[in-house]
Amino acid sequence: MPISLASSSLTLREGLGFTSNMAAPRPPPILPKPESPSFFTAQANFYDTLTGLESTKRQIRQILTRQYLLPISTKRRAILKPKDRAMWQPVDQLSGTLNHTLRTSHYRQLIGVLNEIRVFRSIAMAGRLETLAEEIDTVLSQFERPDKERLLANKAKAIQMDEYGRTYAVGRRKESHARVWVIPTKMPQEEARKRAFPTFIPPVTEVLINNTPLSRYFDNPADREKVMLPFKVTGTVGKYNVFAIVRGGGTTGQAGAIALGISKGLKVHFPNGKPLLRQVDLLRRDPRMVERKKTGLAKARKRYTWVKR
Amino acid sequence: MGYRALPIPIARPFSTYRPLLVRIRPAEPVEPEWPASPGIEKKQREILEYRRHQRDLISFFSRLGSTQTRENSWRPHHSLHRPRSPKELTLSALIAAGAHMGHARSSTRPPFLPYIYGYRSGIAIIDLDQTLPHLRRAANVTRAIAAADGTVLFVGTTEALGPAVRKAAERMGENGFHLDSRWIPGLLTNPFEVFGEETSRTTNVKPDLIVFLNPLQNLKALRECAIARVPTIAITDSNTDPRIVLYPIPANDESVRTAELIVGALSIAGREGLQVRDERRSAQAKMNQQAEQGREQEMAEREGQNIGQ
Repeated sequence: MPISLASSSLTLREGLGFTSNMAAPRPPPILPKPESPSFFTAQANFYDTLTGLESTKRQIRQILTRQYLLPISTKRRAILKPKDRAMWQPVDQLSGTLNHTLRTSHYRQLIGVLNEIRVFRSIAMAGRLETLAEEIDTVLSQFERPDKERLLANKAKAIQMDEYGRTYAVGRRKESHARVWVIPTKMPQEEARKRAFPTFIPPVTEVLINNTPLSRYFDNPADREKVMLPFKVTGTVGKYNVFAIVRGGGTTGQAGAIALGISKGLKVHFPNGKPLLRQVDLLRRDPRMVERKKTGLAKARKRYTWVKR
Repeated sequence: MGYRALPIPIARPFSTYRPLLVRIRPAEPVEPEWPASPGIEKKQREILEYRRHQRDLISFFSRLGSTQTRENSWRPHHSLHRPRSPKELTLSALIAAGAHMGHARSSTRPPFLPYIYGYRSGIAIIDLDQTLPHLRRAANVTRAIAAADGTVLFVGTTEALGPAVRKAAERMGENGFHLDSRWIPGLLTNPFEVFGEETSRTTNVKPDLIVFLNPLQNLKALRECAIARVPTIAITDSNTDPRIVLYPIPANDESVRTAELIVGALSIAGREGLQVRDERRSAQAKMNQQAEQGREQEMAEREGQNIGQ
């Protein structure tokens, strides 16, 4: 039943239900401000690191320009490129260092800036600015792998010639692998001197694959050519013999594996032939493998016949 | 640096350069050691000599001739590194920055018509007689919010605007923040998810003012600001409805120089506001101290009276 205000002694506020012992609403607590200026990117650690590194890079470039070491021509920059491989922390480790899960694109951005600073370091060292190089080292060491020294010491085992002048290398192609020995042929004059008639015998490259000669092992002339290509390209046909043990795969794969093994051994015997072999891609392990079959398709790429209905 | 009476140096192309004068600089820098062939070393030395000579020429001749030098002329980096305060800004500065150039006639938004001076060559010309008071009003708002210890977030999501918003945030110290990458949806309306439980409970996750340099690319952000009741300032162009923000600044949003000019002026106003805040705090602290001292004196007097009695 509504209260009649005219007859009662209540004020309007009291009539509406406000009592005198109701506390006023407390103001919201004043929370501390965020620490980082890039807090509202929600990736403050990454953005702060990136901007910090970029400003460091700018400062270093300014110092080098004042010392007349920059700008630098591309030729000289290539000479001053750091010799060692950069050993930056991988994504997961760097995420731990920055305490923030890094995306691949963000990781690549950071590594890009770090590599540029590393180039500036080598320019500073060439310009005999040792204190600057040391300061750059302190910055970069925070982002390098802790086991950097150990990994740099682990160089790839170089193929060596044994006491008889033979090299041993392994080549792989598709599912085949070949163990290849490249042995230099004896000088034909030596051979001739041993025989009764001192005639000139032209040198011949003999290739034995799984104890069978090349012509009998490979029926396909293309495979035979592939095996002989390293010698043809470097002009060393007749200088070396080949003994190979090959397993796995089919004819093409085995031929490719043997060719790669020969090239690896040949570059040790004949170092000047390395650029020639690289031009023909003989020093590269062909990464192509048989593609897997996918569900819903007849083969890796072959689709089933399209039916309208 | 002591200047001697020397013959005026004659510049030659560096390949045939022979030094005609003794260097004016006081100390000889160390010759860099280039790990290359003697030919490249000689060329590099020539280049260094040439560059030093050029610098010497500039410093020698800058003392002579026109009173307008590099130091007292406007250079392109000044718009970012030496912004002007809102009181010092003039119409000619705005025109030089290209703030009056709007968009095509056909893309004019009707609510923006009051800010248009006219059309020329098919584009709208923004009335800078209105831009300047709007900018000063926005600066006053920024100053007042900073004087009340409020936080300001500067948003410029393109790469070109990044340096400007970062510098602006730097100028405002602890109270300045920047966003130079994508606005994360839910930043203001769903901070629990964006920042995590602990951060959203213990840190002030809502800025007290947001300045947008490219509002058209951040319409969702503006909507969130309206939902979260955060005051906004933005540079609105002729193809933008100026009512989407609380304090629009009608100007060219496509010119980086204009954006740098405006955000520089606002950040300087913010810095002034922080100075006012500091002055108020120190005055308050002084008053509190005096009140404390007065109270202590009173207590001592009362005790003296009691003892006397």
